[in-house]
Amino acid sequence: MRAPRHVASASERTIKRWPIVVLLAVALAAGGLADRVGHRVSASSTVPAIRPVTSVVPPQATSSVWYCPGGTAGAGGVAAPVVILANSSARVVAGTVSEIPNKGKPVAAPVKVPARSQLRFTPPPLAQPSDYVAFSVLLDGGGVSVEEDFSGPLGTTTGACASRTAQNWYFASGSTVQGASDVIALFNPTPTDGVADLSFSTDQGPTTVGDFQGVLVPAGSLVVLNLGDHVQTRPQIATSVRARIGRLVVGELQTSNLPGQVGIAMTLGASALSRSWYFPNAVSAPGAHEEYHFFNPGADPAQVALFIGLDQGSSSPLSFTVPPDSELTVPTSGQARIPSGTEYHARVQVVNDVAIVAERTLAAPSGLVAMMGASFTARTWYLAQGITPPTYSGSVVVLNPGASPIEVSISVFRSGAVTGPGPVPRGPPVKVPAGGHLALALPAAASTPGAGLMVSSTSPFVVERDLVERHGKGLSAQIAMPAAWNVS
Amino acid sequence: MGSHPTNPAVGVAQPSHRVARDSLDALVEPEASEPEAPPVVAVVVTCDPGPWFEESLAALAAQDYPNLSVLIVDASAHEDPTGRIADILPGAFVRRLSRNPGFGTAANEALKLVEGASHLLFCHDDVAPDPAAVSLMVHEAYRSNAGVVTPKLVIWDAPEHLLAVGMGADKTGATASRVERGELDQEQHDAVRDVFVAPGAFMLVRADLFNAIDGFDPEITMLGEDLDLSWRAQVAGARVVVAPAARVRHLEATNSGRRSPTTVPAGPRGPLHEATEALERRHQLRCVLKNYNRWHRFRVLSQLLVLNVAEVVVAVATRRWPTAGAVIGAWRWNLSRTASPRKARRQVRTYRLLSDHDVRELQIKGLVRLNALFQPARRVTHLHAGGRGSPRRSGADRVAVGVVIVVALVYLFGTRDLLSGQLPRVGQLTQFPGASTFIRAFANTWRSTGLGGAAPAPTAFGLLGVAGFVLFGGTHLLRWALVVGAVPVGLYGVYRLGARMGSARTGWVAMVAYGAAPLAYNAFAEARWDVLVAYGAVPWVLAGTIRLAAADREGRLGLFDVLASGLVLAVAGALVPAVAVAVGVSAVGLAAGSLLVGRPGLAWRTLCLGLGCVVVAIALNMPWALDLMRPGSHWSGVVGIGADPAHADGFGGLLRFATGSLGHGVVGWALLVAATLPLVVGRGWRFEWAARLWTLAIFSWAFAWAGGRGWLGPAFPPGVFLVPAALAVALSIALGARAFEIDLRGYRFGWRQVAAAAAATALAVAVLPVLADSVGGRWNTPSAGFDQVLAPMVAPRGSAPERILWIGDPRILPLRGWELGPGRAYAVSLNGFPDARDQWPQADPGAAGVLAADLGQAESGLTAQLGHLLARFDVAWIVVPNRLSPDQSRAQASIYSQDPSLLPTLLSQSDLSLVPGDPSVIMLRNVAFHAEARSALGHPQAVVGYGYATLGYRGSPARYGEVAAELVAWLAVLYWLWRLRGFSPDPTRPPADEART
Repeated sequence: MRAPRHVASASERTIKRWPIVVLLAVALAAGGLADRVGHRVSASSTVPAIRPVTSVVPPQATSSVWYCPGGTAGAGGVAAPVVILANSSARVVAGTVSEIPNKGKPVAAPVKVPARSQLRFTPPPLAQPSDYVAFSVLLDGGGVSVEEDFSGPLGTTTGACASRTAQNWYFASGSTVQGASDVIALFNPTPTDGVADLSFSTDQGPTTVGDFQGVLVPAGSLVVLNLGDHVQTRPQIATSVRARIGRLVVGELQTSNLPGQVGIAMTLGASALSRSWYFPNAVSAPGAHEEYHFFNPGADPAQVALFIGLDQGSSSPLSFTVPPDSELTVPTSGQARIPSGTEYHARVQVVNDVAIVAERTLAAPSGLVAMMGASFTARTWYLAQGITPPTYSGSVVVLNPGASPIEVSISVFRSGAVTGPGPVPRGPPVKVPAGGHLALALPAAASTPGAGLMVSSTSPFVVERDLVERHGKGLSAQIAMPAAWNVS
Repeated sequence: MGSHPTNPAVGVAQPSHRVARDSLDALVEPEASEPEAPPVVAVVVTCDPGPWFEESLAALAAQDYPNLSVLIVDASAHEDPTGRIADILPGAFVRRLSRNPGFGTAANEALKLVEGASHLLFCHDDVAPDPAAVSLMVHEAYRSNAGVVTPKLVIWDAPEHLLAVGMGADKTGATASRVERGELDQEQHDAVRDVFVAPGAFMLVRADLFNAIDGFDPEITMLGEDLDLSWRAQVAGARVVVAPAARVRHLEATNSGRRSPTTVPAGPRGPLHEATEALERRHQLRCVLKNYNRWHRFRVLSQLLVLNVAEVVVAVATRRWPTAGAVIGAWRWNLSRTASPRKARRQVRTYRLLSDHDVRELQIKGLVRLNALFQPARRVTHLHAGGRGSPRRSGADRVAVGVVIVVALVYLFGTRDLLSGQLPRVGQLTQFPGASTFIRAFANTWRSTGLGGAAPAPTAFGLLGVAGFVLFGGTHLLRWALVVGAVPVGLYGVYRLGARMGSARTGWVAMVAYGAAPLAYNAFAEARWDVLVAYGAVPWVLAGTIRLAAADREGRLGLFDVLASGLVLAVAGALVPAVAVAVGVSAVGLAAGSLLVGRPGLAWRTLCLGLGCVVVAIALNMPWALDLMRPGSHWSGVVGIGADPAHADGFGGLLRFATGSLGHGVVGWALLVAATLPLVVGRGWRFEWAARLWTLAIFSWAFAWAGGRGWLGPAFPPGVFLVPAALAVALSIALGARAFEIDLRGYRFGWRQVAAAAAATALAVAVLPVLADSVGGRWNTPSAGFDQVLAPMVAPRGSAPERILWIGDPRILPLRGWELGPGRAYAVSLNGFPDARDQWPQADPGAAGVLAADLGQAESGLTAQLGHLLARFDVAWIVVPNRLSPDQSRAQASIYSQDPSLLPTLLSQSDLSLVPGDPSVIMLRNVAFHAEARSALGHPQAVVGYGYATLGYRGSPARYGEVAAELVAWLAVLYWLWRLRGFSPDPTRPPADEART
């Protein structure tokens, strides 16, 4: 290339062009590079908070609510409820328990839960006869856990209450065969009218029922739907409830009067899908029929693995595929890989990127269990009631899903037993091996009426409480209520 | 005539002074035996004539008209010209006046001195008619039956170039030459035709007509007397025609500065051209006042008032102080003489034959001054006012005019829906309250934003209130102008900056490049008023800094520049405080660029000027600015609240100015490609300036990017800070055009020419998305706001206050508030939908912070009764928009942050009820508030004490003192600008070394 003919005028200073141009280019390139790094940091720093619907709010909260989807109303009902409130905080918590029937007007009653005490609230009689009731508990403080105790001619059970409403609710199990009933309670405790759509997956595939579409659930009301009226004689039913408008609390009341399988089970639905579900305690006992129910409401098939955790030895996982919008029931009773008469823990893991709902049912001569797994872990868990003699016997089982052993301590708060400021005293720590489960040896106070429990550790874990009615007329298995502030 | 005076009266006249003493009745009395040529008297008004006078007299003496007499009315202050006259025109009559009463009054002497003449020929003393001029004009007067005849006026020293061939005037009296000043005379205008104004330099008037309309208006001393006489002549039924065959050279001695300024009769003071404009304006207004009948006068005056207000605003904005002064002075002068026009109107009525409607038919349609904006080639001028402009318009000028027109048309086309329809109340485009409401809010120390509190009122309230009053309360028009007008203002500012590079091409290239940046159009689509204001203001604010830097070695830190830029920045910063920060960053960037090219002294001065004007702007916005800067104030009060840093615009997007839907993709890089040209081919000052501008742009990009990422405190929106970068890129592209003109000539054909072609292509490509976007007609501005879906519900139902708590992405909230978390903000409006007053919240949320704490409690699960907590502060509604407007699609709204936990939290509250409605917004009714409102006792005492009771607070003496101090500060700056205006460098001067290049 020839040299340019341009000759700079005398007035123009000589400036070196390319160093300046390179400097400007480097500045731009540095900006682009920093943008990439910064974007990765920003993107990775946004993790949405998890807050299960059954979580206990901190004691310093100015108010808290609990919604219990309820049971049957009036004497002689199949699941007459009692609301149990346990206050773990150091101050008296007062509030109102509103009993909302599916027919008639609500009834409200003031309650006052002393510090570190339990209160059993037996609902007063309703002015008008009603079939079902739900409860809304409004308190002026936090640190209170609430659950329900049910009893009836078919036996007893317990059920969790929700501390918040949700838009979606899922149930993986259910049955409407002869001798069984399945009732869905749509409870709208909010001031907003709700409209719900229900859909089902049965052993015959997904189905929708016209009457269960656009179900109006007025503000502050309870609507109860008997699935057997429309989804008849189906041995397996998975239910999905979506609030098109508003937000609800949805529970499922299952009863069974089948030979050798008599009992009731009250289950609070799962408000979210997950790829991991934990079942801290399961049993393979003669005469008991245990099943795992998987419900995939999504549009893609879920590759599911069920890991069986034995105390001794190991077991290869069960693998299967849950088709989209389908329910799959996997019985574990009789599985050769689970020795009979042993207790074990189970973990459900979806291999591919599909979220599902997992539920465990147990049908035994002493009762019926339908328990949602835990899709989360926490470092502190609450139980509104312990192992309450003389009604129940049972155990509190912790599962350590982590890779390191953890130390778990259990604390009991009971009326008059612990008073004064400060946190709930902890018992001596118990070590739980990595990936293992352990039935806690409860202090004597935990097995007295009116006792609430708090189980805590420095690492995330899962707590389940299993109860057996002493007279053989009831079973209960329930994941404890996590502390809202340390859920992971 | 000189050699054969045919009029014995003229012929016998010997000493001129004797003529002045005696009666002149016999001046033009013809003898029966003389030829039949109608007697014509040339009335020459002189005033200390210069050396040209003899040539002028000689030209008169050389006239071939057989019956021409000459009367010279001398209004000289210093010199008696009788001797000079006698030497050349010994037969002329001289009338000396004791003082200079102005041309019209002096010429009116003919009414007293002349009898029997058929025509009077009024002449300046600096004209030289061709020998046949008078004959041709008299001939044409009879042939056309014209009352007034004007010749073709040409330049004295260059008679082949035209000055005027008659003139036109519009309904406001603004005159327009029928030819381009300096246009080459190729006989293209040589047709005899009617004109509205016969220029007074040389006009033939029928004597009886002149008598009938009482001659010239004595109130019009100079400039405008010809317009008035021609106007009234036509009102009296006479024709005014131009006879182009008669050619007269005109020196324009007064306006060209050849005549001593002391000869100008009493009038506006100041430089001559300023006085000229002032005289023209006031006399044109006088013509309107006296020559129209009532209805037309009212109609035209109304239009003229609006036009003049706009002219003053534009003149102040563009620092054309003489124009502003001339307009205001015209009204002041005429309003101080109300009796005089009334009397003149009565006189006009006595000889009126033509209705105003018929007169209007003779005038130019439309408004000449408005037309001049779109037809710059047809200059608004007066024959007397010439001399300053360039005599010819080059081809490049015509291209520039064409491009400006095309850009204007594209913008008008792309904005047509906004021009014809109403602006939606969406995003930052909120409704303006009335002017008085603004003023009241300005004078009040109580701010109703948030939960209310004592805080200095934003200066914007005062400015908008005053502007609203100027527009007769038309704050809707003001809002519309501030939104739609910002882009043209910015484009014009960039055009001026670009034109300073010494070429007409650089002006329009800079304007096109600035217009091709997607910022403004994205701002329309995102309803971001702050970016639009910055887009319009930044070129003007930075003009001073850039001009200083352009002054190069001759540059000095000028107080005028600091004050002028500071004043513009004060206005822009009052509306959008972030502009002040953007200008500060730009000054630092420009200074860094100067350092980069090895000019530390210039860097220092640039920095001082940039920061100096920021200081001026802050001072003019006291005490509100102090509130923004005091400890505890949120940074977001100045720079705004940005999107979630995790989803902030990337650096690449910012480089392309892709802050919205426009600017993405490969095409978005085209502007940057075009802007690199001066870096690779520019030499000398072109390269230096390119390096400076690129440094400025990089500083702006970096600041905007880091701010968006939240690295400079809470994240803020980048839009305003990208405007200086867009300006720098546009000017850099213009520099490329200048480098193409200058530098490429020195190179043989090679890659540089290819690069220039690529840059030109890139600029053309960069324009394409804007053209495509213009098809929609509203730059994707949403067509509806939330007011349409919410207003009926949230309208207050009683006298008690009701507040709305707004939560959501700050980019879509219709008011400004405070940060609630990354990409989330909260704000409170009182008693219904927010308006413009809610766009300037206190920098410290004060008590409103309690609302944020309550929300935090709810999100942490610490309360299930958020409604009860909020009801303490009269929060009746919670509104969570999830889109910018109801008509936005879900896909369009996907760019906005949707907090997944917020809605479940709110809906989980036992006392918040979801109100079914438009899916674009979630609205919750606070059941607790409404339950309390329904109770017999109304609101709890705490609520009354907190907010409502104090709403009645209406200012204090201290606040009035502050307002007075602010007013004094603004007036002081204006005063000093007025005082210093002469020290401003000539904005039309090219860079110092450009001339040398």
